[in-house]
Amino acid sequence: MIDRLLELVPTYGLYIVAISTFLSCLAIPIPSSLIMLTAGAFVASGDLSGTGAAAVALGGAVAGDQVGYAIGRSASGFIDRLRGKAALMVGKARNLTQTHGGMAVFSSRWLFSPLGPYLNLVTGAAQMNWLRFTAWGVAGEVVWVAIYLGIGFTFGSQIEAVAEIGGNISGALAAGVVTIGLWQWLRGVMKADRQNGVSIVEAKNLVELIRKGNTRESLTYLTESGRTTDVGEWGESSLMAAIQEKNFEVAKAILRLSPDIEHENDDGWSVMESAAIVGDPEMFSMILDAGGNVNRKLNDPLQLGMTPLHWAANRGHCSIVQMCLDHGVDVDVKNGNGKTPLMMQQSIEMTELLLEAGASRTVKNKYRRNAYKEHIYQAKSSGGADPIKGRQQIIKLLKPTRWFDFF
Amino acid sequence: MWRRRMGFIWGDSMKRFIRAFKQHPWLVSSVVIAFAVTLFFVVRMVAFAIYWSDPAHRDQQVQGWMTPGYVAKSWGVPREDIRDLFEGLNLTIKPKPIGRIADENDITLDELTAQIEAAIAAYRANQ
Repeated sequence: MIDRLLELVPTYGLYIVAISTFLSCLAIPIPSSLIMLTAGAFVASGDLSGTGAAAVALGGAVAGDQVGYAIGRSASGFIDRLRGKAALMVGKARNLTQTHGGMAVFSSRWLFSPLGPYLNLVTGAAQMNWLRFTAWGVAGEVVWVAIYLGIGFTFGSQIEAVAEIGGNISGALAAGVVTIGLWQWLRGVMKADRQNGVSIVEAKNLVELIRKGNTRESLTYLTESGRTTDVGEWGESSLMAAIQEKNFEVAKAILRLSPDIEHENDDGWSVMESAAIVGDPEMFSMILDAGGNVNRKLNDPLQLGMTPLHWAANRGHCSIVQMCLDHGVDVDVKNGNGKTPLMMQQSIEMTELLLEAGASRTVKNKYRRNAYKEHIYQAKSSGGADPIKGRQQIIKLLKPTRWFDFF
Repeated sequence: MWRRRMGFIWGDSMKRFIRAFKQHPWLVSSVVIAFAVTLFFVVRMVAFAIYWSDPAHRDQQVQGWMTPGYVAKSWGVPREDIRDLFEGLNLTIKPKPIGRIADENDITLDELTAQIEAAIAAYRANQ
């Protein structure tokens, strides 16, 4: 096969040089580099004129580049009408042409010559300045002609070896450049994905992962997507889910990404309530530090209006109660039914703590019962099966000290 | 220990690769194909370089695509000797492949090649 090619040059002389260089600039697969090497060899053997070969090769190549550029340019009207994602890519290509176009055109003439014809089309379509294209193009073609004719001239007697090795070198270079370019593209796209939160853990919901107890995958999800905005079945945030599941490792990871602390689920619950109910002191203080509102009133459909202090008192989390009080929460704060934490709590220990903090024995709720009467009422309404142990002792502690407080 | 660590690195990068492929099938396949093509050319390049580095392969034979001038230059024979040979065979010498010259006249390429090689040998013997 290579013999046939080598035969072409001495048979048709300069015509084949001109035609092959011209056509190869139009992405027609012609081994013009080989033909140039051969031409160099035949210049050395005195069968071809050196200046003639150089002039014809340069002329053919420059003319081919111009035609390729013109074809690309004529398509730019169509490209201008593209919209959406395609238009974005076109814009990027144009910017790239603005910044690196000259060097790209120059190097694709001789170093990465298999890419040359495509660059003609692309730069034309990207509306690269014609003068700039031509100047860099001609410079590159001069280098190309000089190198290939020169190598052919020098290694004339080893032309087959040079042709076969050289052809593969230029193929490897061009494919290598394409590989690197595509690789960079892929890296950029994947980085953008991470920033946009189209996570590697695609189509998965962080809340679901947390609910399944899949800590490792949840953490991977967070580090790779940086997204905390997933909501669960009831509109709960990922932080809320992590706290409810007592998965504090994940919860801390979410907190580091500054999530929406104020987020409410479909029933108006936020992380404040969850944290107060779960009762982990470290977690609770971290949420307060992240901007949690310690005075928040639950905005639920039943208008219970519970505060974190109510929940903590009710569930017997003394350290949380203490933390709320330290943050300036009124110890007699009322919920929707006018109940204070003292009326909601269920343990002797909590009674003592609240009383020590100055909780009022006399404040009355919506049903005109103070804490003492409220607990007596609760004990009665439980019908003898009081779930709270030590109710009698609580009632004793809450007994008013003045006679008129009994009413 | 070392094997386990390598296994971990391998497994991790495979996982990442599969994930990337799921998200951008076209882009990832293009990268893989381009890389394969690069590798193909590199391997061929190395293969040819090894082949041609062998002096036995480098010693050319006279072939049909060569011109008389090319033969003279490559074998270091004076152009006059080649011209004399061609005139002795009643052939006009021109910058064309010798295969073509043989076709245009009543002589086979093998014959002409043999004559040229004999002339080269004779010239070298006289040196």
